[in-house]
Amino acid sequence: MTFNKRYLNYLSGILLFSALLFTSCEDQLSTDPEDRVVPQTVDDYHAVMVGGLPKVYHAFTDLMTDDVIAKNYTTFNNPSVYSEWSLAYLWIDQRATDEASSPEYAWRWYYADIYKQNLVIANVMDAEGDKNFAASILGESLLLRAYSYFTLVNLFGKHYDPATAETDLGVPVLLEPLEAGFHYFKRNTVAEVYEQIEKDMLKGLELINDAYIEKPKFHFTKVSALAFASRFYLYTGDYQKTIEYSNQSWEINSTLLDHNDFPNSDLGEVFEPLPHANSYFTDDRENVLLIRPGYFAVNYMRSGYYANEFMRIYEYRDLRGKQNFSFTNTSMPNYITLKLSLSYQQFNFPLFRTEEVLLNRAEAYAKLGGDDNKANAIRDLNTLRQKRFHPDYYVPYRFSDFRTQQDMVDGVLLERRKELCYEGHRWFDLKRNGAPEIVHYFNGEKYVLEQNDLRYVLQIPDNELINNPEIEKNPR
Amino acid sequence: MIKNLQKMMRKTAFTFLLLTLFSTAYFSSAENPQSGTATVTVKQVMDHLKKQTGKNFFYSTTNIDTKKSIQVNLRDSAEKILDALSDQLSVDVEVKEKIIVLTPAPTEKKEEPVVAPVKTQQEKKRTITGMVTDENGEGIIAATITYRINGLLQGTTTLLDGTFEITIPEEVKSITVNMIGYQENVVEMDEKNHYNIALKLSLQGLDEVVVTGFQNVDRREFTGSVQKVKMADVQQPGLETVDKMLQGQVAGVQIENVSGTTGSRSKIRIRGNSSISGNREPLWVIDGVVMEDAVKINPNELYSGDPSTLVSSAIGGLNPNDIEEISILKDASATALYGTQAVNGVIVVTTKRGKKDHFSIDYAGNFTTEMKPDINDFYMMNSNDRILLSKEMFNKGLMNYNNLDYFAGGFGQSVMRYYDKSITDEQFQQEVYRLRQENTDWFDLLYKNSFKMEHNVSITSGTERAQYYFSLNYFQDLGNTIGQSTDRYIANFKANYNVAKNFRAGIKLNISNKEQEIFNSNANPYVYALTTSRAIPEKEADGSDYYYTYNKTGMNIFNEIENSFSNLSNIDALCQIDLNWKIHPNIDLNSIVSFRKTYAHVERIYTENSNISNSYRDNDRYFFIDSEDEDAPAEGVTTLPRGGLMQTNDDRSSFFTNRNTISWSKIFDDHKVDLFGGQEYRSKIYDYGYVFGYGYEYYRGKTANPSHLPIKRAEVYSLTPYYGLNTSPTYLLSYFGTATYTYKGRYTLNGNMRSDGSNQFGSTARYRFLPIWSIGANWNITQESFMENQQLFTNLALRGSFGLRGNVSGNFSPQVLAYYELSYAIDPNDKEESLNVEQPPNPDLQWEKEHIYNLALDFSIKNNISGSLEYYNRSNFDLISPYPVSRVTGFDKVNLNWASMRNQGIEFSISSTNIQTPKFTWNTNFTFGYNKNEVLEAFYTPTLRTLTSSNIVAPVVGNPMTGIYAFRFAGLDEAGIPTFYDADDNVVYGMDLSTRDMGALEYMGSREPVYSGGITNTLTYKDFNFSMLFVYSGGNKTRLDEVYQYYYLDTENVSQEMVNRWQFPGDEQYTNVPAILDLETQYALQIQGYDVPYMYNNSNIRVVDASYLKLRNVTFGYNLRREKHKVSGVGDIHFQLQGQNLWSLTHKDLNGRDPEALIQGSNIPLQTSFTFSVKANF
Repeated sequence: MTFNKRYLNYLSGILLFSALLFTSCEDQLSTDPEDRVVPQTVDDYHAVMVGGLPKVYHAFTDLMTDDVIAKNYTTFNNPSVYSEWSLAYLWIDQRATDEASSPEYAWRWYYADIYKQNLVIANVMDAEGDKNFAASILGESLLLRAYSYFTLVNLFGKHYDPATAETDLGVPVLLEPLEAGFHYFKRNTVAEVYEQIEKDMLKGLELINDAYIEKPKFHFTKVSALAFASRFYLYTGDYQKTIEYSNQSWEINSTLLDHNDFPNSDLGEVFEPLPHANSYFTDDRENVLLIRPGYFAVNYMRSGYYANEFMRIYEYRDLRGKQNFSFTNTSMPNYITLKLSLSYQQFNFPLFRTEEVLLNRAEAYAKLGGDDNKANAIRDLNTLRQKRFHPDYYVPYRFSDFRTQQDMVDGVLLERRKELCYEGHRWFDLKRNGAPEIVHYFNGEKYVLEQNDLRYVLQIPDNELINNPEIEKNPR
Repeated sequence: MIKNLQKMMRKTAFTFLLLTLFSTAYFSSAENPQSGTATVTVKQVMDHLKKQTGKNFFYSTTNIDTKKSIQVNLRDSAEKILDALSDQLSVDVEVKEKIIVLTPAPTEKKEEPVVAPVKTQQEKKRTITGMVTDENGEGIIAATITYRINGLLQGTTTLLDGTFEITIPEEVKSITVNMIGYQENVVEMDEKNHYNIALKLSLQGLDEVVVTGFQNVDRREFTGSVQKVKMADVQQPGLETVDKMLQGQVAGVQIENVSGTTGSRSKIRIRGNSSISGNREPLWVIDGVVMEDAVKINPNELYSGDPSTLVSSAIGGLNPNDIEEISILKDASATALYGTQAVNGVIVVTTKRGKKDHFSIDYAGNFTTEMKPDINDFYMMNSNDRILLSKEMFNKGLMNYNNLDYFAGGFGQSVMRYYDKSITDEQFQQEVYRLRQENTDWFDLLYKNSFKMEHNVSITSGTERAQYYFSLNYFQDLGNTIGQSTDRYIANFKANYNVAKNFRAGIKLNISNKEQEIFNSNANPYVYALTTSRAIPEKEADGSDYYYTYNKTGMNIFNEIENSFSNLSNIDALCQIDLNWKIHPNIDLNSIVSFRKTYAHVERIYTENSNISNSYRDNDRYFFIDSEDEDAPAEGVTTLPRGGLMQTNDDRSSFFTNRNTISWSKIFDDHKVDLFGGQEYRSKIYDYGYVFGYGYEYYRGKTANPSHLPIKRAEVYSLTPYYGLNTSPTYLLSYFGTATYTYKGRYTLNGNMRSDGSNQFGSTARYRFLPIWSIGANWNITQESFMENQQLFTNLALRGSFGLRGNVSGNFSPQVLAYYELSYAIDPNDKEESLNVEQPPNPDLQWEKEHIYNLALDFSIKNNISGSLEYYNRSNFDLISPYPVSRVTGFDKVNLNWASMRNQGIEFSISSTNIQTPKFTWNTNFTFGYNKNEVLEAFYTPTLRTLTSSNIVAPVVGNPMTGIYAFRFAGLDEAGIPTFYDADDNVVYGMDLSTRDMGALEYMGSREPVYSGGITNTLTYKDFNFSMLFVYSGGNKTRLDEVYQYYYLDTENVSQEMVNRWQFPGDEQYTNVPAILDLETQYALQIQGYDVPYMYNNSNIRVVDASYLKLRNVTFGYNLRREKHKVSGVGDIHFQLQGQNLWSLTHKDLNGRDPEALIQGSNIPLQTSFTFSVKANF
């Protein structure tokens, strides 16, 4: 019996031990350690797409144009805002920084958004959920990817010229979400990038479905996609298509902002600059087709970059000249723009609006030439200008105001400059219209960007040059 | 069974042999009939039998006299003749196949039959029990008890508490008790069945049981690298936590006491760094249970001095007085059982426990005073120099109304008053003259000599069945500045029960509570005293408080300290149960269940009168423009219309450990085999929450009157929300096993293995488990026969190990890391749910791994010198850190396994008894650790800026991971602007810091010490004792604090080095300190993209040697013997006076600054302090 008892003892010990040993913890080991998510559903991919909606990464380009002037008024102890922006102002190839005034910033974030759109494009149709919704998301992602590449190629490549686009270097085109690893990329030619953009854009235009878009002003919709197409074909020089897509866009939305809705100081009405700044571009404004929040505006109060000389291009009675600008304060006789916000960080920035579509079309007509087109161009300009003057002072353009075709083109471009100033257009408009000489003064010294200066094509950011040995620099 | 079978077989064979022999003999005698008994010599008998049986005789001529005559009848059978031979010659006769063996018979065996030398009946056995103790009566675990029977060595080992039970044959008359480090004790057996055996120490300072936290292993059989410290040897009464006490005590363990603030953590590195971005701290294990940090903190912020770091420590609840000893496990063999967390080494703490038949109450009291810091130790400008600097800046147009509006110290205030026309030019001059003499000593004003005290009472008691230990500790620090104090209570209870003869249970309860009041980081008195201009007066001329402009609002430090502070409260409770069940003499089952909960509450208060709260109201930079408010002014409105700010952080954590192990151990003759295995399940769950409160009115009954604006502002700008609540669970399941084989106590082979599963690597099963393993060997050379005759070494052993360890580095995952958040929008209503992808998937992501081998020689010479010499080589590979990739991928950095490095080192420690007489002893203990860290592989070279940034690790192949790189200073130009050499040795004002041409830089050396250690000398004369601890560290470099800026706030103080700045043309011949540059020059440099101050501050002339030698501790003690004081009921009373941080030797370029504190500029270095302590027992 002792024998039995002893074995019983062993047995119970070992049983108890094994019970403890195999206490299952499988569930707990599968618990995710953080609140991380692996996207699976269509809704998840919608959220990924939303995360990849661009902000306004190229706003700094306005610093490089003839729309700003630097005046040295130091702020308390910090001249650095002034000097950090001065790199762009003086067309100096930028260092590796993530400042919103640097091309690095644009390069970095447009590609970050492209990754997200690539992730959506690759997966959304296979995700669980409503297939029609998925298709619309796919359409928007394609448009967003096209828009990001469009801005990138225009910043870092030469302007599209059908004659040389096959050899001009653009930016690397990546169309799939890569896993982490050591990846290097070569630059595609401008033609290849444009080809891809056109493909994505048209496919996106086809797929996008406004019925699924909850916040249409913050997303690509049919009408803003058409506006994008209008701009795209204007940039490629395909004016027929520009007119075609502008017309389509214009059919959907032909509302223009009327400056007569704002108080007019000429009539003795008191103009409050602040509400203007914060309400000029909102999702309530019908003329706005796509707005996105921005972090950078040249009018940051303390920056030292002003619009003094630019102010003079407006005719005396042009409401924009009065309503869009203000003295910084009484002690400094400098104008800042009120279009965007006065405060440092917050403002909405229009990416597409009806006025641009109109001006795109006007430019296309002007560039096509011929009397009919000229008449159309003048009609478009007048449509806009009517809303920019008080009815008592409005004088429409006449056919005889523009003697040559070039006069007509210049007239459209001037109107474009007045209308779209500080919205990130001017740099590209200069670049695609002869890349003229620009002169900036800084600390009493004169700095010149020659006509067709190589610096019209921004240098590939330093971090990219360092981390991607296969990328080619732009000539200097 | 097997033995019985063997015995049976042997008997059968023997009988068969005898039968053959006898039958042969019988037939022979029949052939040669001879009659009658005759007297013949033994020799003749043997010859006769040889002929008869054909067998030779085998005997020893010294024992058997062959010439002796005996009476024998040669005609008898061989059997009978041998009988007669045996009887008359008193020999045992053994007949074998070819020979007949004659051996002298033992007298007591005379009666036994000649042919039955092996007993046929069962041996009689008896069971004896006992306890093996050391000189203090403490049980010795794993002592071996052996006896010899029939030439075979058999035995057992003692259990944890020193008890043993052994069954021995009746005839065994003595047992031998062995334990290395103690003298062998042979115990004669008598009628008793219980023996208490005391062993005497044979060597000094060599401890023979290795406590790994999992097992207690005989040092002879231990192959890993471990160093043990007795708490009694290292305890420093003035220090409140144990980590600070370990500095200089253990070779290869670098401890940097970065801060003198109570509760701050020491930076501990065991054998160098193992990771770039992951955890580099060692693992703390108390009584077998892993202690996790109470608050989850990013590894890079551990030494930041933030209040939450003061409550984060894993060992905050550990009373140093409760510690018995500490083992530091360094190599793979020693740490393999801890798995993936042990890559940085393990510190195993064993606490005291109750003793059998013992009762005592011990009291220890410590009273410490800490000297306040001296302004002269910090090398900062006096007020005259500072005013001259401000004046120069003013004259160069750098200071003007615009910036003095925001920050204005003494000089600035005067300028502003002059601008306001509230004072005349003459008054202005007078005021400035007065300020030049001001020389406010902020250290003197803000600091005081602190007072700390600690009381510790412990009660030890015990019976055969139950032993208890209870202690209570109270620590109070009144702080060395205003508004700083600490109160800490720790209670510890430990009970051990011998429930049954083979079942034991232990219970441990530990509760600690700490309350601490501390300054907020904006009112850190150390930083303030160091960096605030001495030209700011403490009082106005009329005696009222002086307020100057800081952040566009009034500032007075005394007001600030009163109005800006944090309250910390920290509760840590632990309950642990240990069970041991010996289900078989060779099999032990052990189970540990431990549950620990901690709660840390940090309350940061900025009252309505604090500078920060006021600056929200006065500084328009903090204003907010509410787009929905039509009446809002253009510059916006304050978000804090009334009240102050508060922030509370609550960190609750719970830890659970359950470990079940089984061990089997057996001795077969010379072979000893130990098998050990088990399973462990651990969970750690951190819950944390915080609240930011705006509009907290401290002085109005602590009421909350918030405005909605801060919440709206946070919403609009996507800032940190005003509250947060989150949880972070980690679960670990592990299996482990070890096998050890020892031959003759000389050679040991050991293998360990563990597999860890964790949810940290996501839900995909294949990443969860990483096997950790090690193998090791130990050779006890002194046990070899060739060492028997030497007298020099009492112990000499060689051991080595090799193994693989792993590390979970940070929050890395092979999966896509995506987090839901709200998109950024100006109008909060426009926000949408977005999924932000932070990391692309990386299916190839591996654990960080390490191969480590270790080779060590342990020696003891003539009982008074002992020590060890170790060499190790750690190869860390597959290191993970964010790696910069092409932006085209969508990311700037991804987590990749991309680097590897190596740590090689030598550790040497020796302790010796130099003199030992009955009255006087002198002991020396010396440790030395050398570590060489080298990056072996890194797939990219960091940019110049990264390489020169002060707190970023920048791996460069061939150099240490923490190398310091500096720009090559080329002197000042004729305008006082610093110049540097570029990669081609051209002299330039600056360079593009985003490039990677390392030619422009100079490698200065490692930031972490290359060697470190300590020397302790202890002298005892009669009842007096004296000891001195020096610690040293060196071979490393440090950057001096940044000194050069384009602009200095008028409120800040500047290093005295700036006094020698370039001021006039020609100065460049004599000084390296640049000039204050005017705005035009600054712009001109900045437009080029040159960051001159950065390059100057990080140039080679700003890097100095950080080696030091410090006299950490001097102790003088006196032991008042019971016989002398004659107070009844009181035992010996020990008095001790101790001085800490008394003297240090550092590089002259540091100008007295403490290199240990330069790691983080916000921590006050350890100050000189004196402790008086009393110890008594009742």
